[in-house]
Amino acid sequence: MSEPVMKETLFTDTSVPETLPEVEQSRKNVFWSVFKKSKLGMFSLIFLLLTITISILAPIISPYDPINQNAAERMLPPSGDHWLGTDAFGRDILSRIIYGSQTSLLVGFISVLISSLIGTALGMVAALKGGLLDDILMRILESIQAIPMLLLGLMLLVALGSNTTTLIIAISLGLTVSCARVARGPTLELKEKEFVRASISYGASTFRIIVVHILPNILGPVLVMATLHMASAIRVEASLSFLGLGIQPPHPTWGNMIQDGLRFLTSAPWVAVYPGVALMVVVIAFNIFGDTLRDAFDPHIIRERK
Amino acid sequence: MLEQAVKTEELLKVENLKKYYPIRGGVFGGITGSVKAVDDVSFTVRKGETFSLVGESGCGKSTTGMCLARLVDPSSGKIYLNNANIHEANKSALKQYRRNIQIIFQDPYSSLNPKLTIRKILSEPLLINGYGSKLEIENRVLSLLEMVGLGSQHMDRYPHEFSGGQRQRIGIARAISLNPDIIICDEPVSALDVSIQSQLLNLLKDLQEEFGLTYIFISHDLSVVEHISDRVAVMYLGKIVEMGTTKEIFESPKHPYTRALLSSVPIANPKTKLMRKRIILEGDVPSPKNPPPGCSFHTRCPFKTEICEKSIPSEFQINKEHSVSCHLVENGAIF
Amino acid sequence: MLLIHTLSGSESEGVMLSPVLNINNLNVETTGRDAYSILDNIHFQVQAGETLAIVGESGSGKSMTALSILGLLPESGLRISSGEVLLEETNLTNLSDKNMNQIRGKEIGMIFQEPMTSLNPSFTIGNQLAETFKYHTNFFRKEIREQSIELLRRVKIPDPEEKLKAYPHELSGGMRQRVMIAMALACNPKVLIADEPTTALDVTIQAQILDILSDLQKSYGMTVILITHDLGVVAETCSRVIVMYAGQIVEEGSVDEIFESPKHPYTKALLLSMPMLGTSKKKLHTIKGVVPDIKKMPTGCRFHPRCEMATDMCRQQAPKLEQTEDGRRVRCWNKL
Repeated sequence: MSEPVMKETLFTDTSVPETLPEVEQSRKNVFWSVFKKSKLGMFSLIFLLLTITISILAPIISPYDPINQNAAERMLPPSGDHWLGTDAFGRDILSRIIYGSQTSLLVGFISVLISSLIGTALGMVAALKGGLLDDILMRILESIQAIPMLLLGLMLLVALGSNTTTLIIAISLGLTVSCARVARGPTLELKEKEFVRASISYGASTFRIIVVHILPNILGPVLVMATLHMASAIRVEASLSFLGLGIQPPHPTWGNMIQDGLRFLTSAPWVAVYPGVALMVVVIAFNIFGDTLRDAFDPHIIRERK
Repeated sequence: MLEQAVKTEELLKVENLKKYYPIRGGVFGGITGSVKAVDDVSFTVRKGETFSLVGESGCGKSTTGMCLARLVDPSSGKIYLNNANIHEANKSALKQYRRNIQIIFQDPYSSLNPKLTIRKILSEPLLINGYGSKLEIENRVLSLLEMVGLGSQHMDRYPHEFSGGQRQRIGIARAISLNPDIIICDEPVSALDVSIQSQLLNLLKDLQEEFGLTYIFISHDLSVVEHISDRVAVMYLGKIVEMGTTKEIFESPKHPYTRALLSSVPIANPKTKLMRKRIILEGDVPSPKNPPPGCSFHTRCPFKTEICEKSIPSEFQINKEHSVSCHLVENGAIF
Repeated sequence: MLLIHTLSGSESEGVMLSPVLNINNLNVETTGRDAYSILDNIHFQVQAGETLAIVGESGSGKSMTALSILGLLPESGLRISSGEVLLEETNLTNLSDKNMNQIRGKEIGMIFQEPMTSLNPSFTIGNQLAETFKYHTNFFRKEIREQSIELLRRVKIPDPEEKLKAYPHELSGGMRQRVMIAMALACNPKVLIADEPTTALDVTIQAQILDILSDLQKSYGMTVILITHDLGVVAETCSRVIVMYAGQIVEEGSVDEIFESPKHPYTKALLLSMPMLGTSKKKLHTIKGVVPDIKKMPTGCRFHPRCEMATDMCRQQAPKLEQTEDGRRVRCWNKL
């Protein structure tokens, strides 16, 4: 009865969309333009990529073996043969720094990966389920957070013994807390969004809501946080190794290299200073990269452009 | 009217629905009071009609809608859909019920997941509810898009590539995708420009005619409500103060609040302004944390008497279709 | 119970009016490599004592027009490329920020849609009113207090003495908007610009605010520019109407003329597509499509892709805003 009416009145609203792909483009453009505009951000990105490549290619690139001692070449200052000099056991500092970057990046990467996965999941579930679960989880995480990360690491390493696994567990535990908090905030906000309510009304499970509706929308902040956490993880690993509790010598890490060189700081400063510089530069690079990433993800900038 | 004679089959029945939100306060965060967002609301919705809940902000119309969709758990009250008892439903029955009540939301920007394509947004409900094979879902999505006046070329685009009106069409498509018994339209056109608003109102009406949909239409805009509804309930401070057919409510409103509300609507016709007698209400809507005793409207009512301050008016049946909660109408003090 | 009375078109016609505000061929465009036109040759006058409505949908440029008059265009992104805004004799477009600050609030009052964001949450209403007085006048404390109370009384705020001590969050939306109006009136401005003043409010509160505005207009001869998307509000409160579409004025006329016999197809379609109380229509009229993107303005008449009456002429050549015999202005090749 009403069918002819339908055909007549249901005009197709297709008069506009030709303009629209531009919006899509502009969103990605904004991300890149913010990134490109930040010279420091670009520079730190390139630097980090370079560092990662070098650490992967360590066996090929590094001029000397990082562990074999050579009594004849002890405490040599930087020269053509040893660009950054040698240490008290005659090992090439440059090679040790290159191998040390492997440890730093690997420990950092694994602990950030673990903490991001667990933390984000915990944060999302806590926010979504709310109530008692949220209360209990957040209180536990807060009490962990009350202990400084370094102290937490010290305690765990002393209790469980110094090895790489314990080190990674200790660092991950500390980072998980802030991951959970970073994930929880936006999830609480998204939970009230109408598309999430709609999905509840058509029967989506909690798991589906998390995977399809929440996670893709909080990925930005989570990635930013993960980058910044790389910096903290590397720093904490170096500190613990410096205190002799992390990776044990003779295996090179920047932390224990600085510790080794500390005794000769006045007579042979290169032993401690160069690993120190490497550590500082990488930590700063991760921080700058994280900040730039944050700016690029920040929806406010997109809104301003509008 | 012939049209109304058909629509008598009761689809949804709501009895004494209440939603109180606790107010926490004090040093230990104890419950110190409650906000009576929805306070003892009863109505029925008939198959194929548009039943509107109208009122100002804070009157509880949206909360009522959310309670019906069970996105908010009511504090007490009974809900029956097709005579099935919903307020005591177990988890799986609740899931079944929920998919029979779908919602079209107000904000076209937050009602679609920005990270999903339109294809994904529309196939998700179908996928979850086991609609059929991939191809069947694809075809259904295509026909849904066509129903709401969007072409298939839109399938793989993201929500931000659409205008507000187009997004709202996608929201409508999603709501009808599971053939629900009832669609709750929560201010579906309030965020849109006039010219887009009329496109969507027509679309909603067309879809209703074609598929015999039942709408619960929630709005603050009386002109829109008059246009789209068969029956209207006027809400004030969590209560229904007057309920009747659209014709009765708009042509012979009884409750002083309904009258004031109607007279406050600006009419786009400069000629009527000299003839119309406007009732401008004093003051603001009282806080639902602390509603006035007696008739909740008495603080602003131009006709209030002593009894209004003391006792809560009960529902008074003017005729079969028209009821009002007002002492004065009941006493015959005002007509 | 109150009755709304407003200055209708016929009442104001008898008096010789002088323009308070002259907007002459105002053009606003985006800055940057590609300059897109936001406002195209906006030209109109505001007479003393009238209530002029600027109506349009989102993206029509109505709010931009207000912001350009007030010199409040966002610093980055937009600029006035040509044209002038004359407040009596002063050209506002050349003024320095400092001088413009003196004009705003003193010569031109303004109220916006969201009163909460325009009020400072950490100061009392009394403080904020006093601030306005201190900035623009050299009143003493006692005078300021008296004036503040008088202002609040004028906008019908109950117990004004008490309300001076209130913080913005303690007031309801309607009360806050009244405070905004009071602040805008503090220095007896020559023009009051109200940008969607009632859009965020409920109908019964909207009625109160509109009542106050037309009362002020009646008793103090206030000149008001009301910017709104709501044709109902226009019909109830204004005497003259400017209809804007896609950055252009498409029609101008008295409120009776515009509503009774719109000459531009857009105005007519807009009126037809509104559901109107007390008139039952089976189907609403619709305007196909949406407002064009500023980056992709159609050639010819900007409304032609959505116009039911569009001809080849409309598609190719842009119509000018022409004066008709009865003193109205319309931008259309096929005037109705």
